[in-house]
Amino acid sequence: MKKLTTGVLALVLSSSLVVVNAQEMKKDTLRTQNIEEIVVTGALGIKKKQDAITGSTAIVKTEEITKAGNPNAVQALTGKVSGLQINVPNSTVNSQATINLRGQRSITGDNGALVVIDGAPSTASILQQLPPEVIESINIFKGQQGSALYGERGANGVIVVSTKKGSKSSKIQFTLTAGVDASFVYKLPIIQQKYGSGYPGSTFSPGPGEIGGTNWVPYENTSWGPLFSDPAIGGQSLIVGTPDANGQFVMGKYSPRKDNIKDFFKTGFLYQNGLSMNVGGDDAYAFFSINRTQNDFVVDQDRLNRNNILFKAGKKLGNFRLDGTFNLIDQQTSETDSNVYDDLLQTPSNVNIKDFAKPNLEHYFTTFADNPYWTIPNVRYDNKNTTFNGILNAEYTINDHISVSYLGNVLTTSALGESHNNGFKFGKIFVPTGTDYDGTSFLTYGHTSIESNYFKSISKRFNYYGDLMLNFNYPITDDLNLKLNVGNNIQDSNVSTVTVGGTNLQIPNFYHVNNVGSPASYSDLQNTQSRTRSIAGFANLDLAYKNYLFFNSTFRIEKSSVLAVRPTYTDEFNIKSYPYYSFGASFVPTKAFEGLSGGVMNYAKITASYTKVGSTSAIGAYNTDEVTGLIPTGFPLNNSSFLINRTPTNPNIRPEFTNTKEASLQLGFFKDRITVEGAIYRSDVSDLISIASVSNTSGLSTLKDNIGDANNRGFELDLGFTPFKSKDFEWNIRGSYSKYKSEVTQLSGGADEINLLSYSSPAVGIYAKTGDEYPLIKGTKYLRDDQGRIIVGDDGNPLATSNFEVLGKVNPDYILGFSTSIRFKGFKLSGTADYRTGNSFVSFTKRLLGFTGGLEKSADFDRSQGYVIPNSVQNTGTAANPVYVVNTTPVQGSADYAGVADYFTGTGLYNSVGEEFVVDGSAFKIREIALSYTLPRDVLNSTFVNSLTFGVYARNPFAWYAKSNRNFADPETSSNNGAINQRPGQSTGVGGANANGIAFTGQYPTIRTFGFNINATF
Amino acid sequence: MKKINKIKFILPLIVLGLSASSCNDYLDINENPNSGHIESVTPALILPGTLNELYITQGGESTRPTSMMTFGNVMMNNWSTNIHNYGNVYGAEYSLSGVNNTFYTGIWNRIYLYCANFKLIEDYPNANHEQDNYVAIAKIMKAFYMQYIVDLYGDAPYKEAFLRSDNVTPKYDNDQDIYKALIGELETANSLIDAANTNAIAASTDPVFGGIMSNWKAFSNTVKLRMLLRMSNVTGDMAAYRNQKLATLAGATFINQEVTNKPGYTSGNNDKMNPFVSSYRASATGIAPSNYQLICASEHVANCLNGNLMGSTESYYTKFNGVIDPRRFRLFGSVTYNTVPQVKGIRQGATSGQPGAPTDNKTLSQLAPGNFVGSSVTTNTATVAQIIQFGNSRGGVIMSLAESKLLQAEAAVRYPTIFSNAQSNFTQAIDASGAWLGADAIAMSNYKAQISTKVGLGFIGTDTQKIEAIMTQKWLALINVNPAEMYIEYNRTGFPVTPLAVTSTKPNRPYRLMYPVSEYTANSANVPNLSSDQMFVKNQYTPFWNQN
Repeated sequence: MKKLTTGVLALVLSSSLVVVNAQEMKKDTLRTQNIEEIVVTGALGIKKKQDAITGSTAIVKTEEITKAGNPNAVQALTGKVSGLQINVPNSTVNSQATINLRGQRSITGDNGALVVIDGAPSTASILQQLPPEVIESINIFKGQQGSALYGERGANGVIVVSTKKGSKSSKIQFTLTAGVDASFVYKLPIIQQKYGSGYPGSTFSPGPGEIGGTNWVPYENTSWGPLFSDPAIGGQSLIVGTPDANGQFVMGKYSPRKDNIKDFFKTGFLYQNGLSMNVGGDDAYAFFSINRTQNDFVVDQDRLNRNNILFKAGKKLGNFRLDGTFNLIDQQTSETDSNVYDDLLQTPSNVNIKDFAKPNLEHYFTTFADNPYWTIPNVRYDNKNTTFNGILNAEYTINDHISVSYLGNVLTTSALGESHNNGFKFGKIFVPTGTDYDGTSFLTYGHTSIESNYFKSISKRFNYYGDLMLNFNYPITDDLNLKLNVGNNIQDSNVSTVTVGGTNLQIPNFYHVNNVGSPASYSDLQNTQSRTRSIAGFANLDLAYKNYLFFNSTFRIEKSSVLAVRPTYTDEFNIKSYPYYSFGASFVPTKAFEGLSGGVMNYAKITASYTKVGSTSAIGAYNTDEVTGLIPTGFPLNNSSFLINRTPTNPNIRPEFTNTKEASLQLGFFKDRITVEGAIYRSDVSDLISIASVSNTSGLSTLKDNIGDANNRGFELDLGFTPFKSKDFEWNIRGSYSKYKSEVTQLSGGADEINLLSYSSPAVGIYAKTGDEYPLIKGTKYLRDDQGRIIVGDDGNPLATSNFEVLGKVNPDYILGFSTSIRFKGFKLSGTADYRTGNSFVSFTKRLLGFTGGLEKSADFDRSQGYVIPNSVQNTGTAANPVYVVNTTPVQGSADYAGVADYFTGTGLYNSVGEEFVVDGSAFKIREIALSYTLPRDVLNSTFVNSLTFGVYARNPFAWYAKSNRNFADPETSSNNGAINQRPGQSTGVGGANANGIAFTGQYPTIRTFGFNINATF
Repeated sequence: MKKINKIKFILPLIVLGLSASSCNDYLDINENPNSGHIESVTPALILPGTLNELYITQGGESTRPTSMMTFGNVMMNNWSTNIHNYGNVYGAEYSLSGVNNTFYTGIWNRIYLYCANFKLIEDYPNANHEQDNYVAIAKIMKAFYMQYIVDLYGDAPYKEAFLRSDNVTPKYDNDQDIYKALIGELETANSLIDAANTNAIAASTDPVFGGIMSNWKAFSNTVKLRMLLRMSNVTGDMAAYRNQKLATLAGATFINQEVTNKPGYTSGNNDKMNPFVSSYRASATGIAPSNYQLICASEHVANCLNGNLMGSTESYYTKFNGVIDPRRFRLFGSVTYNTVPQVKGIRQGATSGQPGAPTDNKTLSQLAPGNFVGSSVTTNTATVAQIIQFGNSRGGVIMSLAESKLLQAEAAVRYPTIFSNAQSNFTQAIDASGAWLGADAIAMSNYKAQISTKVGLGFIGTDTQKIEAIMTQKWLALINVNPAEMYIEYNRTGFPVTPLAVTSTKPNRPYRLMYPVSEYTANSANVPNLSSDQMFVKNQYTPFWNQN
């Protein structure tokens, strides 16, 4: 048996970062631990030794999560575990990450891993609110076998989070952590620096008149003006924007400013403070922690405050053991409308946005967009969330072999959301300025007034989860041990949401429903409750032969209320139950054959498993109950009215079943100085559920039903290398490679694809198509000749396909993860990076910049001569016998500036072809760099302080995007959260949970962060 | 070992006991508390919302691809874009190169989705004839809107349509058969009304005629006449069918009032407003939507209304020479340009500074109050509050009186053996249009006198010239009222001659629309596969009444 010294980072499990992290706790005596005997907490809290685990797992310990000061434990996992993909689809003060293991299995249902905190199922959102330093470890069960015991919730793997437990020492120990970091916007879209604000054909007086086929216009949001380098205007001091209340103008030099919208963003600050107390004894412990996080975002006034109180205690009384956890999380956020970024992106490069930094809508650089400095104080979304989580775990040991245990969990969340928009009525006539502005107002330029509104939403969630288990542990023979757990589970989830509000505030700044002049129709507001329950019986069997051969089997039979159906609403409900099961085995040859472990190879383990689990996540409460779905617009009017539910569910819908085969191999060489791990898996999904678009002529727009089959397959490879290891110096390097593919294999009803989301300008959509990976980006494509040259029409405009063709896929071909750590005495330096490639996204920022003329591509030629599509041809033959000759006709058939502007701004021209806006999503990102120094013990001997560690760190310090991604968006932010609608009580996404791949303009740019933290125990 | 066996026996019992005993009660909670059950919804509850949603498509613009109002006004060259301030609007309509399966898809989708609710009314248990009146109304309105499906798309699902989850891929029916079936529905409705079953409850939630069934019968006859006139050019079997059905209308009563949807619009919030007002002129609180800012008169409509102020020489303009239409400032705002008050428009497809879009005066004629207030306020400067108040109270036009009268006029011109009073119907139509817009009555009289000698504008000349006059007057009467109807009539008759946008890439307007993309993705086995080009020539895909 190998022993490892403490403080050693060793890659033991599939890419796991087992930090046997006891170094600071005891004196300098080296503790030892058999790494294969590390006890891993799995599904339903069942603990097993590593050797007995029959699937791929990874363990991430607290230090890995906290070292770079990330306030979000989920984001801190990025790049550290193979097969685990963390995406942060929105960059806000409260960025929420999605957790995905090994790709997609469902089209409509949730593909996020199940999150279990201290034995009770929780949510990714709650995990992200938990202070990382109270987390003891995160065990990631990548395959389905580890989560099979969860039955209908086990299809996406499980992340088992254990919070810190009290120590066994009766001495009270305090730990103080504090961190502060500063964040900055990074990678703003690149805007051309050649042409300034203006538009061909427009006029403004006084002004220099037409220059180079276009006109300078002081109020334009488009950069279709003259060249900055044109001596007739370049460098001159000119009017910018509209006059202020006194008729005074901001004057600015007609020359480009680099990153001119960067000034809009400030430096964000994040403060994290925590104090925890730890005490215990042989038969009891207590742990108490209080944490506060305050995040001031890079957008002024956007702020998050979070307080967390965690209390855990346990006591053993003879054969009875009781553990309790009490967790209270209170979080408040305040944000403005992130569409201010869309307004900002329109800024021509000659404009200094800071010149308009007053909250005045009628004094801005353009008449066509809203001044974001007005939006910040006047459009607010405020949310308060309080989560209470209580877990009681009781166990009674009947004898050496039998115990009975119960875990009961109450999770409640109450959320209060308020939003308001103070509104603004345009119409002030500009005072005499002696310019064309005189006598006009914003309305003259087509600006519409902003309606004031106020909404308030209250929602309350109550979840109960209870497991009753009987546990047996019998040695059947000397060599064969049997463990059996048999149990019952009930789950009850109850959510209700009520929203009030409307438009037209009567008294300014008074945010109350009584002050709403035009209350929204009830049909427009949430007034819903939903309740689901399930009941299950389950069994878990573990057989161990000696210490090297293990077998595990799980079985669960489950009935869920969401599957309750009845022919008509006066009939009885009928609920089908479904069984889910798994088998797995692991074998450790190095223990079976003593001779094997002596040489170069010190450890080997092989596992194989088969799992059948299901998912009902795509079937919501009441989906199968046929009701009227729709209150017609505006009703009730004189009479009430109800219409057909256009988006029903087939009442006989079945869960999605996932059949997974998985195998893994772990090898350790030279006393684990080199570790190699690999896992390969294949999941076949049958009865795939989708909200399929159906012919509207049926009277329905969509039908949720089982529509076909899919599969998901892939593999992971992890390498660990420890070139140096001594008491004072150690260097570890790790790398991982993960690859997966999710593919629809068959669809019913003759369809070969499902549309999840689509747009007409640009003509793109997100699809699942048989034989292709999903999510798939499809759209119209330029017509090309056999040499790949773009074919243009007689007018010089590119021709495009009318059908949607495959343009890319949302998931990367593979993900490479790298991390390294170097320890030298008290110093530790570590870094994490990852690389993703083969993925694409649709950039709406590129479309917007094309329209405004800010796009580099719209300025890399002489606009005054027209724009001939590069590498284009015209057909001089016939359609049947084409003859392609090199094209010289500029777009719109017009060899002048106006033709260029028309082409880039006109509907159905530049902005229509889907292919143009699909951007390579490859990215290499340094996720974290952290350096820490722990004071030697002897320095602290004379103080009350036991240990003291200082750290500096950086998150996302550097990123490299593909060449075609001119910083349009962080590829990760491509999500379905397109319709920015933060009105409380409203869902924000469009296109369903899995319609990823579209990057909208309401997404703030990437943030990079640098910080400092301190950790002391006393 | 004994012990284990015992436990093995007990355990499943515990598990099963927990599951079985409590399970069914415990899990029987899937009854939706958030919506009413479909079986409990009576026709009285279905009708008003269905009609309103369909009217939103006809007369409002909830989103652009759903709007027959925007579609008709842009395609008939009534509206143009304020291109001095707005880029990126109506490009596909002007160039016609964007007339594909994403072009105004909402017209198809919404008509089908909401007409399915008429089927729900028809299917409601009615053995005792309690629902006869609602069933009759449902059939008439279904025929009214489904006619637009045929007129804009040709072949379409009908027999297998509206079956909801029982058939989500309906087969397509021949458009002639759909017309026949719809006429059958109108006749069935009439016989239900004629039977006047004593059990039948009054259609008290009817937002159109308030349950007065004689009006519904007159409207039914008018819809039937419209369908038969649409077949004016057909030959062979269908011509015989048309003539036979026309004969059934001899002496029939046609609708003699504006057919409006009045569910009780209020300014409570935007959703409760008349969608025509909220889409194009003002929100419930009086804020102008962007549509109001971006829509202006087209140069074409301006020139026709201004009496060919441009002095154009085309015959479709010269017939307006000197005839200033008294409805002009009721339709579009007055702009003084070069000292002359006029409707000032933009040439469709022109960009700022190009011919038809001069920059020396960027003020343009927007939608005028007359469209909304009618004769309630006869000055051209109604306040926004008045526009909201009267716009809501008078409701949205499903079929205008002028249209009914012009249908009767055309019937009398084409089929004088069955119908009569062409001239008086023609005159009454012009009066009805003027009254709807609140145009000055004296000026309207002068106008009628003035056009009486204008071929193609007044009721004079050959039958063809009279048809041109009827169509020209129908065009004027349906501007901002029901222009999509006019687009279909234009396709049938070729009148009034209307120029294309300067950016048009096609020689003519499409004779039909492409089936929407939703049919190609979700009903691909049934939807006919036609190309963009095939919509611009007459062929087997053209609606049957327009194939020759």
